[in-house]
Amino acid sequence: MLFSLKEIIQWIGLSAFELWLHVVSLLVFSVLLALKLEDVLSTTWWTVFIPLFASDGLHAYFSSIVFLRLNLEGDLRTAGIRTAWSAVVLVLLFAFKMLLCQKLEDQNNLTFAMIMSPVFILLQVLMIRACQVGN
Amino acid sequence: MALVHRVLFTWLMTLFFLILLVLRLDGGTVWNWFIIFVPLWAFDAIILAMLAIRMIRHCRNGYDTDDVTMRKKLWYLLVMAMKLGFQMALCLKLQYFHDIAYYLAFLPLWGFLLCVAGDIFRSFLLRLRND
Repeated sequence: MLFSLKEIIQWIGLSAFELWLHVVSLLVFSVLLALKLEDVLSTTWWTVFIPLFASDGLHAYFSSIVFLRLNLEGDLRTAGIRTAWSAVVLVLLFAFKMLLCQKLEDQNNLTFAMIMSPVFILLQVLMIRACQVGN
Repeated sequence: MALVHRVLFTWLMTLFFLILLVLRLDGGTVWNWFIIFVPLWAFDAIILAMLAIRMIRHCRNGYDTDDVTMRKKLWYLLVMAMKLGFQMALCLKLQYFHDIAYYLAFLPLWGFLLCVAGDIFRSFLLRLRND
């Protein structure tokens, strides 16, 4: 397609495993979403979003282990940059999902523009990263 | 296209789509959902056009410059078809047919995500075999 997996990894800055984790969680989430929209599942929106939050948690856990391993090998610079980037992505995505969940549960009355703002910030950061992508 | 151009194009289309989506959701406009999805249609059209050109070139020359097999290209075509199917079904559901079940609209998405997850998983296996 438009990108190879290697190019996506280079641009987005997540490893293949982390990408896979997010895709699978998205799949589970979409199944739950369809069930919720069809009123088969009568739980709160927080339950529907559990797969997404779980993948965030696993991603954070995985990143912290990689950080420790790289640290032990004495590669402090790579470890720092990698963990900082993962943290930025995770925090922004988590903020977006939490705001969206609150909005759907009527726990806040922000506009969708404000809820989407973490995603817009993430897009700006991705633009900066795109400048570093080789040729 | 060079990688930078592809990245820029993807980025712009995502940005336009998100802006239109926010406008529509916040009630700034009451445009047709198909118009809201225009950036995504443009994105898919470019991908399909590139794929078609590569397939034609492959058939003409008998080989691919990037060593992508015909089977792989057909697989990409299938994945793209599912992505397009999901977008169209979702638009139709939101705009015209409010009665059809969400399952129908989500079915292509599940296929698409399964294919993507499978593709990434295959790359793990390939790397494992090479090590």
